[in-house]
Amino acid sequence: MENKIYTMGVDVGGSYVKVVLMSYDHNGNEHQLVDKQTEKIRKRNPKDVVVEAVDSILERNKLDYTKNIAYLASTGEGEMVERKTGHFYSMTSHARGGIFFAPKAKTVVDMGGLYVRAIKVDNRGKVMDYKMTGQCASGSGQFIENISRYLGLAIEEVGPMSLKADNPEVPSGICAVLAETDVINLVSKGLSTPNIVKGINISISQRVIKLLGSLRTESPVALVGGMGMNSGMIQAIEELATENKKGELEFITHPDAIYSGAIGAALWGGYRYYKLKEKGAVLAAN
Amino acid sequence: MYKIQSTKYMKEIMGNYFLGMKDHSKKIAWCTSVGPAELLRSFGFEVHFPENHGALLGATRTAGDLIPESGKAGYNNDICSYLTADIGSYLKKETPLKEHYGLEGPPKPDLIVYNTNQCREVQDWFTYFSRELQVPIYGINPPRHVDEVTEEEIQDVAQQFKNLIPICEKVSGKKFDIDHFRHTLQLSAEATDLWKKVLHTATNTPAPISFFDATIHMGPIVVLRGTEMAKDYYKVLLKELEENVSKGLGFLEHEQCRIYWDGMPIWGKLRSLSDLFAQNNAAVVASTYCNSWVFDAFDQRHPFESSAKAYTEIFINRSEEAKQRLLGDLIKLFRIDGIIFHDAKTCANNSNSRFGMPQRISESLGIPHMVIEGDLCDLRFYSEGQSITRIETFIEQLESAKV
Repeated sequence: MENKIYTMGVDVGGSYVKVVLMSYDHNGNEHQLVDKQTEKIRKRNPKDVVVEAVDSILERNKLDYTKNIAYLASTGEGEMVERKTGHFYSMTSHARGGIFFAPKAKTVVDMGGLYVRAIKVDNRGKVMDYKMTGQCASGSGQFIENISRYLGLAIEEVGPMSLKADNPEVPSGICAVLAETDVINLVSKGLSTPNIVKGINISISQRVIKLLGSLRTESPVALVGGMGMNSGMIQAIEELATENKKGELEFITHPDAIYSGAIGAALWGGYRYYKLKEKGAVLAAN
Repeated sequence: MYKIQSTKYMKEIMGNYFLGMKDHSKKIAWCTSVGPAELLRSFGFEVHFPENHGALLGATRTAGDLIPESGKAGYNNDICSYLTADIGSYLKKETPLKEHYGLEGPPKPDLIVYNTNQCREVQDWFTYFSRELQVPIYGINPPRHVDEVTEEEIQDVAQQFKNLIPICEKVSGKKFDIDHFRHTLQLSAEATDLWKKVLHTATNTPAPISFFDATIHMGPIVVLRGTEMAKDYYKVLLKELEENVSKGLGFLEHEQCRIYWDGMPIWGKLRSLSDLFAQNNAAVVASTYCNSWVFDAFDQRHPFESSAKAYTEIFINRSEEAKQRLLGDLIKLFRIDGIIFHDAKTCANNSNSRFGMPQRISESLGIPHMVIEGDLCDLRFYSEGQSITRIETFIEQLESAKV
């Protein structure tokens, strides 16, 4: 245990703080995900949430921040991470995290709380080009959270519930407010919850497919970010891609997709640590 | 911290301009911001620009409370938010002019003049006030969306300018004096030339003036064209900026990338956007908007024809092809790494992202673009969280392209 090098990645998003611990072998050539933790921010100060999550990972793994952590990398709202060694841009981190899950991916789709972002990457996870959804929240994970709360579902239930749909109805894809009204209307019409949830997943997937078209996406496509864990969404994206003759696209998902930003940041942190070590520089946390 | 010292002088000049509106002995004309201000000034009119008031309502974030008022009067809230904010201000009898300058509202006009060179909305907006205040109105309707302005078009608009003369004579009680018109136009020509030089100081690295600074310092070229004051101000500002260039001083110590802003400013978010770009070492150095008050054509030897040409060949009144050429020239001149198109939800005329322009610019010049959704005054159309993420992502792309 003592011989290993550890880095941590902290991704502070709109709704959740995601923290990971990565370990490296002696030369930094191999790495693996050791531990992970997600904390919902709720009404707390994100700074405190970060401290709590980092400390609990350190404690679980019997590690000491000063002695054992070679690099603590932040991404997202980096100013909320007080013990960081360095900060990495969010798109750079998600792209690298996508390559961690799917080393052959040529496109990484980051589906987060506030937006969907399709990123073209090279084999090192370097960003080549990107496209983002427009500003309306009907294309975001936060919208799904709001709707699931309205329907009385836990967020984890949305995916499995969506898979049970047999005749989904799609709400407005233009505006979150209109979509919410549509959903209320669908409930009062007596439409089953699976069909409503699937309809929402389809509505957001339509935006994702449009995005992939405008980016001239290459396969395989890694689906990451919080919505990457929604199995109903993945199914809807795959179905729509087939319908839109984008069937040649291979989609890759991973149960830890929500950690892509944190993993990417931790990996870029490790990369920077070894680069600076080569140069004989000493890192100091700020 | 870098600061443009001339700002204090500008505030004084702008304050005097507004306080001058309290002088009831002078006739007041209202005019669109790229309308025939010089001709009106030559008759001794004090000129009020409702768009300037609209921008003030946006910048002070009072527009949000006022826009719904005009909605009640039947002016939809998805049309020009300068119009809806200004009419709302009139209906609600609320204006920041009161707090800042002790004015009850914009000065009551004796004559209202508009030019549809920028949009038809100004016609509806100004006509509302003509009806409401029982004031004579005159509109100039030039050809729209021109590629290059032809001689026939210049003659057409020049004649429309001339047709305004008897109306001005009647309202002002003064005879038209061509020498006075020539002199006013000459003052405008000199001021606009200085303004151009001010903007062009930002071709240097580090740039001494940002787009966000320029939206503030453009006040005199908009409302005081044709006066000595505007000319004097830009002499002072230019001198300061040129000195900063020679000392190597700029608004950013280190410019990681240089950005062009197309479209309207988001008036209520100037400060936060300026800070956001600065924190990311991204220098927003040029814009379509601020360059729209550069009128190269003004020539006092041909006052009617040259001002007709100048006001017809403005960017917003050009064909897509001409706009692309003009954007391309500025992008090269200012050594731009990436362009942001502001898609203002209530200003289709000044939003250039809707007909494929961003894609054509990126393809022809090899620079990335991004579209930011927002508005000039109505912040309900602007999402801060979304926009910050998008802008940071864009800067990230520009910076990683340089590594």
